[in-house]
Amino acid sequence: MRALLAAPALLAAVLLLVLPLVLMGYVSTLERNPNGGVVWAVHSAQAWISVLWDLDFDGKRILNTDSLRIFGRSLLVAALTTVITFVIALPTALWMVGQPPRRRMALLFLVTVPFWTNVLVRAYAWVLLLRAGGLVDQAVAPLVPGGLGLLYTPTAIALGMTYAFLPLMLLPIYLSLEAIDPRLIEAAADLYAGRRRMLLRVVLPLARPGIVAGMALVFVPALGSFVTPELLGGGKALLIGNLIQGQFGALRNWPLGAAMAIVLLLLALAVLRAGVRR
Amino acid sequence: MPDRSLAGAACARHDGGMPLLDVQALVKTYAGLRALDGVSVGVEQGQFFALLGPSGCGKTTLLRTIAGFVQPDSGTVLLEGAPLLHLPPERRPVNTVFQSYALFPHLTVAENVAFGLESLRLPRAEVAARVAEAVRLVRLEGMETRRPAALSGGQQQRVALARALAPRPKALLLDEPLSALDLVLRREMQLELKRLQRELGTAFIFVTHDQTEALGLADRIAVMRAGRIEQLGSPEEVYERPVNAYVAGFVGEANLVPATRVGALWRVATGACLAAEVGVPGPEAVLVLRPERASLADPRDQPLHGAVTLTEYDGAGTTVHVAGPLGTLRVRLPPGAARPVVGEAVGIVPDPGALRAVNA
Repeated sequence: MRALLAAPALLAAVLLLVLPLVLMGYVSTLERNPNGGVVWAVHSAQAWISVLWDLDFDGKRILNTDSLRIFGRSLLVAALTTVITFVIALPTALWMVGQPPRRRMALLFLVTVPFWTNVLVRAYAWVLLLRAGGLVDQAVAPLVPGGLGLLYTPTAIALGMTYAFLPLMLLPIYLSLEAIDPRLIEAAADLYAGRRRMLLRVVLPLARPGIVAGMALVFVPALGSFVTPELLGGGKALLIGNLIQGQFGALRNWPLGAAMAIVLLLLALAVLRAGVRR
Repeated sequence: MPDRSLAGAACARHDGGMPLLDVQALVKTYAGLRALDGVSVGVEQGQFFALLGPSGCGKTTLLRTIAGFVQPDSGTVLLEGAPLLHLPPERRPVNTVFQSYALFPHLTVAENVAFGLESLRLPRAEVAARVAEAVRLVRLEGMETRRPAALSGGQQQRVALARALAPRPKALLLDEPLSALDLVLRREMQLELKRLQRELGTAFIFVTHDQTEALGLADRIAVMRAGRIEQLGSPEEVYERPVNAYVAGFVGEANLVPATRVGALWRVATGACLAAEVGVPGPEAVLVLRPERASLADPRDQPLHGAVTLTEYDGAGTTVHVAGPLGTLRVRLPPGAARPVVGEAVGIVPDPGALRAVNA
């Protein structure tokens, strides 16, 4: 009976999670079809080799430093996004929990508003804001006559990523802060703890589950993101997400795309594991 | 009403007129409701002071005002003569034992106990020494590295005590600290609190709704109702000379019989007149009779009488319920006394001086 109750969830997990992953793993071992898709019956290790190695003009295998650089850049962007959103989300969440309950509800609602619009639309909104002669340039015109020229720079990527992922960091941190027993805060104050000690010794340790969750929720999708960096970075700096998207799209190399996606997954899991264990 | 004259006399005996804690005319209103309605009270050095009253009487609000978690609308609080109310909780040299302990779940026993000492930036060696001392004081040796979740309720209570005592507060505030414990443990912790208080000489201000606890532990009791202190005195004073029917009924068992003054006597509803100690100025009063300060007699010629409806034997004595024209009165018989039969007509004879006329 118990098993039966769990069946729908199990079925969903298998259909939506396990099966696609297995399929992706399987595709990564197949021979590529130059016209798109794969040759279903023919297996090949080529995709996995191509993740890191290339053939040079003599037909020798050489390390593909480009893909290493892209992997590194992706990790950096994801890490930076995580750090920046955390630095913004923590004080915001602390401020929010200090508000009266009605205002807290309103603020919480405001935080979720961006989710009502598609990522792509929101990225384009940033393009309109940041482009030469856009709203940002108009606003700073009295000070910087030539405009800031922010669009298609790393700053634009950072802005867009921070904007896109901030709610994912803010919500779990806010929820874990709100769940802290107010008597513990009183106890800390009663035991002579100033603001700093209260934060470092009581609030942050108790909000740890939310902080870890927020970091995971930001880091993992940020590592695989490609829409925001592409639109705001102008496609000048490739990320893993772009690379994978390219393999399935224009480059028509599904096995390589699948292999890279698995590498991305493992990379994310490794970082998460290291983060949770500490 | 606050008994300022007695508090003043006690101070003069101790240290020349300055109580440890001096609360004056505190008022705190929550949404139009007066949680504190002009409370004034003094607590002496080394006193075990109980704030006694039913829930909602303002006793916890008073304690939290002293701790710094409640800002009163008006009034002052002096600690050793210095104003306290403008200081935030973290700068008040008092510590609290919270009702549900509020131990830090992510810290060990030793880390919990060390918390206040580290906040005060004491040298590491002194922190360690004081933690060891506090842990020994509450008899938790060997538990230092455990987390609160791995402790029983009684042990958590001891950690809360050690944590609040380690910084050596000028006064320890206890907010119904024993209410979460079962009866046996509660009894044990009461003795423990008494022992600790005697050993340390620290003033304990103890909030409770349990009159037995207050009578047994405290040197001085403030009985509160609806934001006011109804009576302030030693356990004996509060029990034996309650100022009104509310105090008499809340502190201990009491038979309460309305009466009117007739010359030197008091007339009850049956028309009978009784002699009573007078603790009331007006003509209307309530006569207080403690069940253990009366005995049973032949019903003839007794102004208080009725028929036995129930007898409760509990080993230490028997409580007899007597239903008569003045309602049901209770009489406590000592062990070994003959137990009356249900339905038997009995008279109730108050001990000499046991009846007391007080404000309704």
